[in-house]
Amino acid sequence: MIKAYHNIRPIYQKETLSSSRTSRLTVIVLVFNLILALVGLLQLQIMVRSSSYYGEVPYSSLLQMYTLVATFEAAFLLFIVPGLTAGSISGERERQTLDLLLCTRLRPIDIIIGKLLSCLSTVFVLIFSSLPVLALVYIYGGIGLKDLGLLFVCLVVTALFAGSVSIFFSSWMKKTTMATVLSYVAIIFMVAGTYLILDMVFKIISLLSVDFSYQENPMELWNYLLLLNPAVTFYSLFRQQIGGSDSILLQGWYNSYIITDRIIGLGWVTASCAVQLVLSGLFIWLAARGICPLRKKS
Amino acid sequence: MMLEIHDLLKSYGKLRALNGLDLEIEEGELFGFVGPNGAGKTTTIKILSGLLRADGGCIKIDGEERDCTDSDWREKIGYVPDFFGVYDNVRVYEYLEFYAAAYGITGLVARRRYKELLEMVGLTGKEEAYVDSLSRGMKQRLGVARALVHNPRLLILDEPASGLDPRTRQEFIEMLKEINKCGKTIMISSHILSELSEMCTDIGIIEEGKMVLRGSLVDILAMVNASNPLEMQVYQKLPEALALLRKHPLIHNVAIDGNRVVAGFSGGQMEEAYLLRQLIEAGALIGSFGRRQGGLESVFFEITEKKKERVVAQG
Repeated sequence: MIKAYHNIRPIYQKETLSSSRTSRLTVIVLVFNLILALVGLLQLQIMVRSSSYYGEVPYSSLLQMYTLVATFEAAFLLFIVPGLTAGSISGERERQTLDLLLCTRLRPIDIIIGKLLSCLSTVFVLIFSSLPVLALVYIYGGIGLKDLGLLFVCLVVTALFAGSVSIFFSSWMKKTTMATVLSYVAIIFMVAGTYLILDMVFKIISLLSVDFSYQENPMELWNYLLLLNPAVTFYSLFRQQIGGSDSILLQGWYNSYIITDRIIGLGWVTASCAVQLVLSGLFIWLAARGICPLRKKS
Repeated sequence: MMLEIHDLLKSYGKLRALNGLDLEIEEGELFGFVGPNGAGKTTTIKILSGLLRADGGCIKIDGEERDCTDSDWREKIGYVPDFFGVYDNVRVYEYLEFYAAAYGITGLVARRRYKELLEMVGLTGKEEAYVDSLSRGMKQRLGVARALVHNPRLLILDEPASGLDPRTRQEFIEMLKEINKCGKTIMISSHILSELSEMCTDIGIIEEGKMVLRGSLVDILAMVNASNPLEMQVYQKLPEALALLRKHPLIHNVAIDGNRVVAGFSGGQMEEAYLLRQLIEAGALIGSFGRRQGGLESVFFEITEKKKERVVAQG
């Protein structure tokens, strides 16, 4: 463990040092919080206006504000993380510094983890800096510290998942542009693609089955595809936090259907976070394989 | 013997880059690794640096067979590629501290080490400068300092002086000589053969993945010079001198250009001295007399040409 720390530290330190010398991080934090603050304040304004009209503030509006800000935060992270990570290894290749790193005592996995941790530290900065905006919900209450903690865990898992996918492409692609494009395509596939595939399969099954019932779920296995979908993870989390069940109600193109609420004894959020963590590990391992100069054994 | 390579093999698909390469480097040597493009120099260097896996053969350090992919091996090798590999927004001392940390050297030890190295490569006072603001020559010096940061036993440089202006190149050569004097073994590959002959104690010529010639530079040049023609300036009694040369049993192919006479001569140094006395006794006034001096280029061209001729003849 200590050895791993010593191996990861040089890369992590160098990355954070380099990024601290550019205005990129400052701009990202500023824009991120500005958008979140605008969304939060706008919702607050709508609430205040409606209360002056109806003479009451519906409890659901308060929860809606939390959901809205947290959704924007998650979407923003999914958008930012590939941009931060996709150039980390291909950039080293373009600068011709990758061979120099591989000549040192550092193992490919140390390089990958060091780079990913540096990206995650930026994510931590973003999440922590957004706490004051999220604290808007405390004006009226309804959301507890535990809920914010769960949201924090989900945001970190999502960032790690998106980061590991991006670093995988960065490791296997020679050019940063290609790695960035493929990373965004992969993220879009996970968010929208999995949902569309499921919806199409659902439609096909409903067309083929004679005694098909929308409330029954005839495609149990296909549903698990959504475990890869960070958007569904957040959707499920919000449903759980604002008082709904842990089950997922998905609106398809034509029909709505319910996805099972318990998977191998776990809630959807836990299961999807676990799946995304396992996949992150796999992508990190594959990324390390991608830069290992000795991977092609004779 | 510090480094021994025996029967090293490496193929890229059907292309055989190394075809049983043998190489030996003594401790403290400044070894020049010469060969035409595609001969297998960079492949050998990359295998030694742990960036490629050999298909076969063995590599020994201090007589002990080692795997070049070991982290222990990496500690013994410092690699300077033919590109700079520098980061933006990083100062010179941070750059060196980063690579020192990558070899597990941190804190005061790292600080002391980079200060020593900057002095060694002539970059003292540049600690605070940003790496990307340095000149080409300075970047190359910094590259050498980086490769020496973990105090390796063997420093390998792949075409290090390419792209440097003549003055910077000369300064770079002097710096390498100084590093070599400090006891560091250096292996350097270069296409600029004159610069290798200026600094190397030993050279090896690689062709089609095999070592075709290996020895000390003095021995190799003497060997090549012995096969070079005699050159002389004859100012008086040129016809008599030519008649004598044409009759001489060790002389073949006499060519004349004004007063300058070039003759193929198959004798040794003693026979050369006798020939000179015969010419003087024949009344010729000799301005200069001696073998045409060959450089590393002539060795290189001779060896690679012979190889080509053999291929053509076999074809």
